[in-house]
Amino acid sequence: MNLMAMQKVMQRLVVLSLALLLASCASTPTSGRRVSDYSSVRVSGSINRDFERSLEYLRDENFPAAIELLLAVVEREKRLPAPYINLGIAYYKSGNEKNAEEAFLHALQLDPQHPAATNELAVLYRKQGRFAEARKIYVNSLAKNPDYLPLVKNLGILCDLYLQDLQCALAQFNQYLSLEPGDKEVSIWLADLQRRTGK
Amino acid sequence: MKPFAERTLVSAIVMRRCATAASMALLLNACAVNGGKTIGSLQSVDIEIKEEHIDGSLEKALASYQKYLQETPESSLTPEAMRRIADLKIKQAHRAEDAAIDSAVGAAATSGAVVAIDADAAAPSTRLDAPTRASAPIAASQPSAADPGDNGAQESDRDFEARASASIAIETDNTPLQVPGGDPDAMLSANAREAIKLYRDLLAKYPLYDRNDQVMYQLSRAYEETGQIEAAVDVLRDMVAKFPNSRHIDESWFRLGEYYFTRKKYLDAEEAYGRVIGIGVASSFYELALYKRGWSLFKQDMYEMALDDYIAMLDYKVSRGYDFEQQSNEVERKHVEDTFRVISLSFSYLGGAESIVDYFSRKGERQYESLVYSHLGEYYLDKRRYQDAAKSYNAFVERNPLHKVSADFSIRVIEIYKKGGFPKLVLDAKKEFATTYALNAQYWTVFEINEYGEVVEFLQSNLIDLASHYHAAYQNKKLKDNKAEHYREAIHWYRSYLQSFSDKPRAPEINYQLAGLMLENRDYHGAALEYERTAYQYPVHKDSSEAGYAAVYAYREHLDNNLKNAAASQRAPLLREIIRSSLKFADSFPQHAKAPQVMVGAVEELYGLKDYPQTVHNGRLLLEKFPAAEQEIRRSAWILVAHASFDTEAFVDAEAAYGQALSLTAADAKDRAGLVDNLAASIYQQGDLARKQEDHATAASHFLRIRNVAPGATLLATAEYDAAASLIVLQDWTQAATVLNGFRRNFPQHKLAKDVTKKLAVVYQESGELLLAAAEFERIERESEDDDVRREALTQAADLYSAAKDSEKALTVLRRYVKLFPSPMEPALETRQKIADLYRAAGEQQRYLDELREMVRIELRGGQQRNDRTRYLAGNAALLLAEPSFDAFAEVQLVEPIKRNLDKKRLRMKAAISAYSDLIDYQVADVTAAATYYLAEIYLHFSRALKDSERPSNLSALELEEYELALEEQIYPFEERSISVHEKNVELLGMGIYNAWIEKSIGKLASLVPARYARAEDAGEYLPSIVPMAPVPEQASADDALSGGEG
Repeated sequence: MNLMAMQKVMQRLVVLSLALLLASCASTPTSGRRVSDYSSVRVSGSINRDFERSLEYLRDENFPAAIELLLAVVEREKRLPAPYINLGIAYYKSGNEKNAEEAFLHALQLDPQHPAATNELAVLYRKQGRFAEARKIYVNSLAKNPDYLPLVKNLGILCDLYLQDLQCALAQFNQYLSLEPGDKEVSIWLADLQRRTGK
Repeated sequence: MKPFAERTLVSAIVMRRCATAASMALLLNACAVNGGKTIGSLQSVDIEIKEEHIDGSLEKALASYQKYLQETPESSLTPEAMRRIADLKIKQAHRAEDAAIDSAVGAAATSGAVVAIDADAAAPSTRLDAPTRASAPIAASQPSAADPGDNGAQESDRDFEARASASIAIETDNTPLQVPGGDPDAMLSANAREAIKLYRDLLAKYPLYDRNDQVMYQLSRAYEETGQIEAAVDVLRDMVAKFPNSRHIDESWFRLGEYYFTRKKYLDAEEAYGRVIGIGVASSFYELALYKRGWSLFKQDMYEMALDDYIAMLDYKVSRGYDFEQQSNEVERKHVEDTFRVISLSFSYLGGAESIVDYFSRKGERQYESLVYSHLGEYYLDKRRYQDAAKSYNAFVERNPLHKVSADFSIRVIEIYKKGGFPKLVLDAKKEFATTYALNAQYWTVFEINEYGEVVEFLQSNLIDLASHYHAAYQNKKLKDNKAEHYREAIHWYRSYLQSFSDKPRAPEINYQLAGLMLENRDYHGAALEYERTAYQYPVHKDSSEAGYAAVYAYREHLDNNLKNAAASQRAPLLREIIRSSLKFADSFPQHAKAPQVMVGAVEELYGLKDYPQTVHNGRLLLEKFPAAEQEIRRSAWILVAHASFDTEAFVDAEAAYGQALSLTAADAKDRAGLVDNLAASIYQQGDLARKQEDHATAASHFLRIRNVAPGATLLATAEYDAAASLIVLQDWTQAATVLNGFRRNFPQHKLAKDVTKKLAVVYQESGELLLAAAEFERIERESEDDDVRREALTQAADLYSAAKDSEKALTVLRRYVKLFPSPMEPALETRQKIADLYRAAGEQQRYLDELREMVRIELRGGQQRNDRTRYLAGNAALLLAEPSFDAFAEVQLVEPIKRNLDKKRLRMKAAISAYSDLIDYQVADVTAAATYYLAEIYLHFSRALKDSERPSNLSALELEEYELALEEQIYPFEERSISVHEKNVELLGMGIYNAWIEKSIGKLASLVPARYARAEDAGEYLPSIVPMAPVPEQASADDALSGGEG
């Protein structure tokens, strides 16, 4: 079931919760238009509670329940990337890469260089063998989020293992270690790389 | 009004008859009148003895005079009294004679005795039907009825001469009449004798009596009456000698003339009459004298002189205002008639008509000249001298073409020729007449047509005669050489008539004949026009409707004979005419038996001209107007209405009309099937229309009702097929399936049967009847000759069986596929893949593997048909086939007996390596990566197996240590080998290849060479907050703490 189909199924549930929301003078469903600064977005309590509950489902790896709840969230609150990102991760972990990709892309529509969203999508693409697309996402996102460690590391891994672009990997791991000097794992990788590149 | 010929003849004949029978009596009357006047004139004499009207009787007067003589002494009045007594005596005698005649007439009325006067009175009844108008019937001119003048009752010239020139003397009238109570002759003689004695006594006694001329005159008469003619004449001679100025001188000379004439002393008579004439018009005998001198001269063969007298007499009459046309004075009229007759006689002796011309040219014209010509004409006619008769009339007409009688004369000429039996001359005369007196001729610029009804009447009948004559001649086979000319003439005269007399009662009849002639001459178009004119341009007449019909007939003949092979564009205008004429006919003469037939013909032509709206309109009109028309006609009309409705896409109307047509069509009619087809087509089109409007429910209902409404229609199959198609669009799968199955049952051999199967397959598929759908696909495969279709159908069938969980049937179908279509190889391998999958799903491992092996085997021999896909399929099959070799290798545990098991494992390892190594040859990335992965795993497994192998139990600690070292040395290379093989997979990344096997190899390497490959990405971390986390507050507060705060 794709995202849209799922959304339709969920609409019935939404109607129920809507009635409750209206009774408590909660906000009406928000549009999916981009906001200049979604950090200032005020989220209704019920949505926030649902999001919180979805996190519990996710931690319990109860992905179907988490997905259902998150779909209910994005049905009502379309301005924020976070629910979409979590939804994407949930889909991926439940084996539905297609819906996962859609969810991540949805998040990126709201915030094109959202570090977590770009990172998740790039990793997904890497796993699907779409290395070039992954690299492009990493690079673009890093331009805006140069300090976001997962991006720095993951681009390094992509370059090292899959693109076999050792210089790129070297640069990324160096950058990573410059940001996170104490990371032993990456230090080892860097050492291995330096050995292989003779540097 | 009687026509001229009739009128003229009547006068002529009346004149003659009267002359024959009654002239004597009439002349006598005339004389009596004159005589009375003469004798009566005594009454006006101024004498003392007055002419008394004595009441009672002549006898009383006589007695009175006699008494006077006896009682009165002789005086100067005595001779007068004596004369009176003598006169009365004669008068008494005359009265006795009159009584005798009256008695005879009265007796004749009952006795049946022939009396001349009666014959005269009876004459008119025969005269009336004398002339014959040329009322020839159309087809042929009839000879005119015989003129009554031919009846032989004509007076001969001799008789005429005798009668007309007869003296006024009484001597010829000696009819013995029996008078009751006495002998009138004796009485008369007796009285006359008494009178003679009295007159003679008077002359003797009173020789100087001043009225002795009168006495002598009376004496002469008394002698004459007593038969003493010579004595009478002597007295007259004496009297004219002695008393040349006597008041009785003219009468006396006339009587002398009569005396001489009677005795054929014509010269003397001529002189005596001349004396009277010499007295002039003052004499009452002037006119008679002219007449009689004419006769005297005539008798002497001095015709021109005779004519002079006759003409003088006529001139005199004219001068007295005599009207030749008068009818009131029969005696005078007859006299004039006799005069004309003797004039005719004279001219005939002088050379005929030319002599008249000559005479009047010399003597001066007379206004009554035409009568001279006409009388001469009639005279000749009596003599059966027809040419001369005609010539007489023509002579006048030629000289007086614009005379008012010329037309009448011309008619008479024609009649004369007719009587004479000169058809050629009659014809020529008629033609000339028709031309000369045509309504537009010069003649009528002089005379008012309306006043010449007879002439116009004659002109009409004349034109008809001419037309009829030439029409008959045209039809006469003996005259076929001149057929064309006769045709032209007939047409000319018919047209002449119609141009002038289209408003006459006979005009329609004549027009009808003209049309008939043209038709006979195959001038069809002309005939059609004339028939139409006959039918519609006159008030309704007996031939109206037949002409209307004939017009249509002629138009059609024209079309068939003259435009048979003409181009449609040339035929169309005529067809329009035919249609117009036909419709007009049917509209004007609905009672005509052929009206419906003609109308249906028009409707047919309208359809032929593709004038569909009019076809429908008039077809329906026909059916409305002629509900009782013949069945075949009504049927044709319905068919035409139906066709035209269909052609104008009025399919509902067309359906109804075809239905009507069929109800009038016999069950075994040849065209029945065609009509049924058309009915079906009408319904089908309604369905088609609905279909185009995407109203598939209506469309389907139309298509489906054809079966009941038009059973046996050719397009029934198509309709039902289309119904199914519409039902499919409507997703009415059940109904669609019913219809399609019905189709298959009803039309098993139909060319659409295969499409029905396909449709049924779709229907069943869509309706969830997967098994039925699959069966239809199997059927498609069987019915099709197209291998592509067959392969596709089997594939579909198998998929449907699989979807319906009927693996057995799916396998059967797939097996059939690979059996029937081993080539092309690729789809065959795909099919075998499905077979293999089914076996695997069914747990039939052996069959599954067998199938995989078969795939590998077939693919290896594929030659040119091998491609990436076949290699992929075969490679994967081979990969799967290789797995048991890995399992077999892996399952061998290195336990006691070590050596044997080791050997066994080595052996199997070798086999597995071989199997996987072979897979590389497929050059399929996935397979290669998989094979590489397995190869690496074989080595790794072997190194682990060695590591985990059972140690010999009989070794010392040292030996065991050495054993371990030796084993280590064995293990290490296999592990290294495994790493390097896995890295081969990683190297595939450099070639742009990436798949699950490579990822698995990386996963393996991550544990084998962690520093190099254990690269876990940072991902999958849930965002803990729906809104972005606020900037870290702790740091801010720490900074604040460090700075000690602002301010």
